[in-house]
Amino acid sequence: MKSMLKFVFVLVVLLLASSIVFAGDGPTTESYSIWIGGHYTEFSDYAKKVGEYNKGDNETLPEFALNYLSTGSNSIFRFTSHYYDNKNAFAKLQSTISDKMKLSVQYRSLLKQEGQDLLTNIEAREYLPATDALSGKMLTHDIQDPNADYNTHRQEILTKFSLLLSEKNNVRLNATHRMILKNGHEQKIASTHCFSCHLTSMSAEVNNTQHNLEVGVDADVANFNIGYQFGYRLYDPQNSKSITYYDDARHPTNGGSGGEFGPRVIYEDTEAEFSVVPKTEKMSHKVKFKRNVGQGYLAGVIGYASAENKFTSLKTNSYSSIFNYATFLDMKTKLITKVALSKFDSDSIYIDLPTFREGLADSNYVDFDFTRYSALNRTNVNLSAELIKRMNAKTTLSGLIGYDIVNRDNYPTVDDGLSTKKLYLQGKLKYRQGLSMRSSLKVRFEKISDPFVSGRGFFEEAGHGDARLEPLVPTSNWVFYFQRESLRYQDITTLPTQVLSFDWNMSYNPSMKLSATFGLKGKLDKNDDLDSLDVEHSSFIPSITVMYNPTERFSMHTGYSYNYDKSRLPITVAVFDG
Amino acid sequence: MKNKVCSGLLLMIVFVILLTSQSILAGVSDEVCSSCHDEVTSDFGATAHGIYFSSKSHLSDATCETCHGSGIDHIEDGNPEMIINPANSGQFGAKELCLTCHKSHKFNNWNFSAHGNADLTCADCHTVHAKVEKHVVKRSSDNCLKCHTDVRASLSMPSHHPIGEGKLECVDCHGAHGEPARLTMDNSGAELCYSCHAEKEGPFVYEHAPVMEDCMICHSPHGTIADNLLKQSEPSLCLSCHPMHFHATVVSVDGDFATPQAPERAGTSDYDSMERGFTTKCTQCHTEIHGSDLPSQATSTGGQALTR
Amino acid sequence: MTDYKSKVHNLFATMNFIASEKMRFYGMVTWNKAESALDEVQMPDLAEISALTGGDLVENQDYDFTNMNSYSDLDYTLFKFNGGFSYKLSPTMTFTFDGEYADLTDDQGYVFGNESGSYFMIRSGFNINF
Repeated sequence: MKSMLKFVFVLVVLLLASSIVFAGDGPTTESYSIWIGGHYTEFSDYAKKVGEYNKGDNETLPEFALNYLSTGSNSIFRFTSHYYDNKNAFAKLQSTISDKMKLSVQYRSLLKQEGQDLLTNIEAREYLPATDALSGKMLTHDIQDPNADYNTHRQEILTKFSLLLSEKNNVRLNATHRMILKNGHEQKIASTHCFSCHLTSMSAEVNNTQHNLEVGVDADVANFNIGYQFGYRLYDPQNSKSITYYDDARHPTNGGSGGEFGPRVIYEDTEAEFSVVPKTEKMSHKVKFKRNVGQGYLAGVIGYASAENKFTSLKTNSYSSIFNYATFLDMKTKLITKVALSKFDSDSIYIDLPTFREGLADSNYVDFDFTRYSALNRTNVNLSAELIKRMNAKTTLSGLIGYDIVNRDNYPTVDDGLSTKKLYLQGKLKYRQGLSMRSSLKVRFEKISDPFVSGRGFFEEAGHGDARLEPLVPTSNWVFYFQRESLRYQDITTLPTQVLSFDWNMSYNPSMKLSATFGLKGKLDKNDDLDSLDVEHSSFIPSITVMYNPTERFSMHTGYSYNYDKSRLPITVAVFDG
Repeated sequence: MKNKVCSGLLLMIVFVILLTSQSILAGVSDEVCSSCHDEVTSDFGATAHGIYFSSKSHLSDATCETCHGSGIDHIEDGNPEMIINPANSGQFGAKELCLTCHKSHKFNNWNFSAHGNADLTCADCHTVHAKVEKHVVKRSSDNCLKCHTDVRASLSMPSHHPIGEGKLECVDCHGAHGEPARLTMDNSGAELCYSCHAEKEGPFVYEHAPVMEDCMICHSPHGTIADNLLKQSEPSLCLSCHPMHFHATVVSVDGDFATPQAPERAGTSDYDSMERGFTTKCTQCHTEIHGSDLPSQATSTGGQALTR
Repeated sequence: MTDYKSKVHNLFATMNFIASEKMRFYGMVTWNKAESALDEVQMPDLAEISALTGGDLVENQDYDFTNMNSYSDLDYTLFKFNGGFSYKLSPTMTFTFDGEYADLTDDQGYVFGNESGSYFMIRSGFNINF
């Protein structure tokens, strides 16, 4: 009912706006239509997957649509709307007055159904065949709300406004505001894992709002087209709190050894909130320009942005610039060059952890405090040049060369940083034979050095050591959890160092009544920097579509595509039994 | 006063000469065009262009040739190649024609865009001669999918953005006119995704590095078989980068069991239950996979396991 | 090492037929078969790895992942049809009737259980132009 009221409210606002728009400009032509009807929906078996974006209820509901168009001597006004049910509705108002002012307001909503993970695979207890005994590793789960109906109702109101402030320099004010509201319920899973691994599933209320605002002004000054744009984003979650109990630390079977197990967890025997989504705020400033230079165009953007997590006060700052230049070298040759530079700087934070085994009899304690440097910190450089040549009336050939550098300082998993470099070459051939045939082939090759490494990723050579642990390996009986972690998380990547891709398509139109399009996309990549692992990936997508219009009254469009994708990936196990 | 009158007369003469010379150069009236293209000219007044032209005194004399250039050669031999047709002009042709009047700053990057350099013309997406009651932009998603056929297939996959359902459109994410600033001018390449999924942006105390790097490492936005637009189902996707827990190698008891320290945590397992528990879906435990401000429980991970 | 494979077949057809000045038929049918699976996990040959790495390796245990590849397989088949007609009752009024049927078969239940299900929707109404 609330949603229905909101929808009606938006309709009223839009209609009021329309009356203001036309206050001084009576319509010269006017047309409107209404559609009144209803629908009946019936679901069977599991409705949430097949009806993911439909409301999964068996019911009959009224449905209506209203469309209105008015053209004045100096204006166009359009209103379209469709009410399907109280979770699925659409309304849009567009108004243009002369070429001076444009306004559009759009409302749309959808319902996304979510399934419930039943956690049925989380049910096990370790068994020791050699001694025919139960052991201490256990997996259990608890579903607190097995009948919960998980779904999210997403509503969006998008407002765009543009006003010509001065015809002299084409000074135009632009503003866009987008509000996204999400309401509903989602599944939250808490895990506690000291004396047993136990998952608790519960329902949590979703209630969050997101505002995206962009305001800018553009103008033509001398030979420049310049603009400034301010951006603001606020994400404000008002979700219900999810709280769970985290077990106390003790031996899984005899319940003792709390002193020994305690240091293995950061917190224990406490009720605490989990899955907290922070409120965030972001602001950006951009200056844009474009200028005709000789036979070409130069365009660029320089910007600064800052994002803040309001829960932790962590901040990210970024500085970016893009410069593009396109020029016609002659009547049949075009050159496009692009340069982009950007720098991202996200706050680091000191993580203060309980000292492992401090105060216990054994002296093998380790202080694992660390500074978390952000994986986002980086400097990006992108350079490319593309030459497009019209060989003749039918054939166009283009060649592209580009070079990207991503320089990550203080990257979490690589002590001396990680610098990824990518060289890419691309060729494209287009052929057009009048209206009867059109074809293009694009081939691209990429060579990448030091690809991105997933933080805390896996290892290739066993025994990569943490320097702090080396004196303790392998004699210590107490630091095995840290040895295990050190063994588990190392610094290789399975991302490719070579990529070859191609994209071919051909449209064939033997007559005005028949046309067929054939396509074949493919990609082959591999990482040839690894010693023993064999990582590669391939994909192929052939497709065909046919359009057939034998008469003016009948048209048909049909197509088939096949998507094949294969990844060869390593499976590694941390070679340690705690 | 006399000078002003003379100047006025002189200006008028120049204006008449200019008008006359234009008509001599152009040479074809709209009536002549109508004789063959009546389906276009008869309703032109009801098109967006027609309405706009009639509202502007300086454009009220706009003719077909204002956009299509001189029609003399075309009239003489009837060859459609002998007149400017914005619908057939690629990047080396006359597509700039539209931009002569449509000076919006949003077209600043057209010359650098994929569409602009692929010989697409404005008319490939915009129905220039349609009556205003029909949308001037061809229904966007259908229009895009005519060329991007592989995307059409992706949108029918089990996990997809609801474009086929009509809830979203291609243009919600893609700038058809070339908007390089959209993806690169803010805090990360994921800016476009964050514009709807802001809860993933952070910055978080505990990060998942690929989230900082590129959403596309794990997700394929048009559609996937696995849930949540993941390129592969779990655990395969996770195991592409991470080793699995050694617990997965442990054998489990075949039968009912209870947890000694918490008897209410009971269950039934078989020989493979531990393996099944640890190699089915990693995010059952690592729920905060996009980042979290709260530490996970185990000291050994430094709180970075993204479980809380 | 192991392989992860995805295969998707997608077939669609749309149709539009203007039977008379008053009547129009339209329809669309989509069939999508999507499956992805992990192949059986093969642990490496220790002797081979040892030769590659110069003998610097930790002995692995004889791990058994015989069933792991079956836990997360996915196999969906979606059939979807929608179609309808419109009939012009008068110059300003049109009657429309359309329907949609979708059937999803899940041959590899995942953590949400068996997700097979279907729905149909029928809709009718009157469009009035002013």
